[in-house]
Amino acid sequence: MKDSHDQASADGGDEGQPKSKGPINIASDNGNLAAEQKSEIYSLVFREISKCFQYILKYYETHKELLDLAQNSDKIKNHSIETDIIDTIVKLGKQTRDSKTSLNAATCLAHITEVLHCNPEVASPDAIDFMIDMLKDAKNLKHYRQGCRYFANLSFYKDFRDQLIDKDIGTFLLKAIDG
Amino acid sequence: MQEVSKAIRNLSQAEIVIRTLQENGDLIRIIQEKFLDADPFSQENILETVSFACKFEQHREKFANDEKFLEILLSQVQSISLKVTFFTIRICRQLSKDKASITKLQGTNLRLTEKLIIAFKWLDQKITAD
Repeated sequence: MKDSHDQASADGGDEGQPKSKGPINIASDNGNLAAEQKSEIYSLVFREISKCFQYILKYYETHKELLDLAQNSDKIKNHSIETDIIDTIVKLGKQTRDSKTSLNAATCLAHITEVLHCNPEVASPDAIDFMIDMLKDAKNLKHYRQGCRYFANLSFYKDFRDQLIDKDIGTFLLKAIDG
Repeated sequence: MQEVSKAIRNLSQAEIVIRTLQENGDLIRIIQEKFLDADPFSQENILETVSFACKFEQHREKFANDEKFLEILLSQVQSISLKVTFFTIRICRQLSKDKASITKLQGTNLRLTEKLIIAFKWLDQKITAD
């Protein structure tokens, strides 16, 4: 019997790498959650959502096929689902204080930029600001790497290049190299 | 139901218990036949047990191949219990680890993506309200 043990929790680590974390402690329940406990669960839910998006976008071809299928249905014809996805990811990343959630969100955005002619929403001002924060986070190597990957991919496109220049991204990149 | 589900949850930390529950299809049967009528605390215990099982690829595959299970699971994203919501999304994340399972979770209308977006907006509003 094969037991491929899922050690990865919803953190920003590489899949398949063993983690030494214990179970998430939200077990003591029974009704009235204290505000602090509630806030912790909200944070954990957001981390799970961000990791779930990361898995979805990791298999981008599958995501794209399903997206096209859903996009062509009458119900949601005039509505860009991917724009909603990106919008949600950027909000998740920007408003969290949990570094694993922000890493998951940054990885999601970097995944999207890997695709040729990616959705322009991935270079919205909010998304760029969020990824500049990741780039500046030289102490957290994983965050920093996703920032580098995102800007390297975006700088391939002329339209995005202009936006990046407006944001003075060159300065941040030079600082990153010096750091 | 609460005490029984709690006992099963505690016991299911042992892999042998998970294997027995899965071999007989008991866990999926509980979800299909008992879950929706259960109280929120029992639902939390049942979902936590499923989450333990989802640590193993072969069990994840079994859950992902059961459409009724997926429908019930996805219907719990906006639960009255915050912990039910948490375990629901946690199980979705665990199942999403496998490419084939993502396709089943998404269905033809990207239902997983839709649920994740809804969950985020809903919880974000709740935080503001709190």
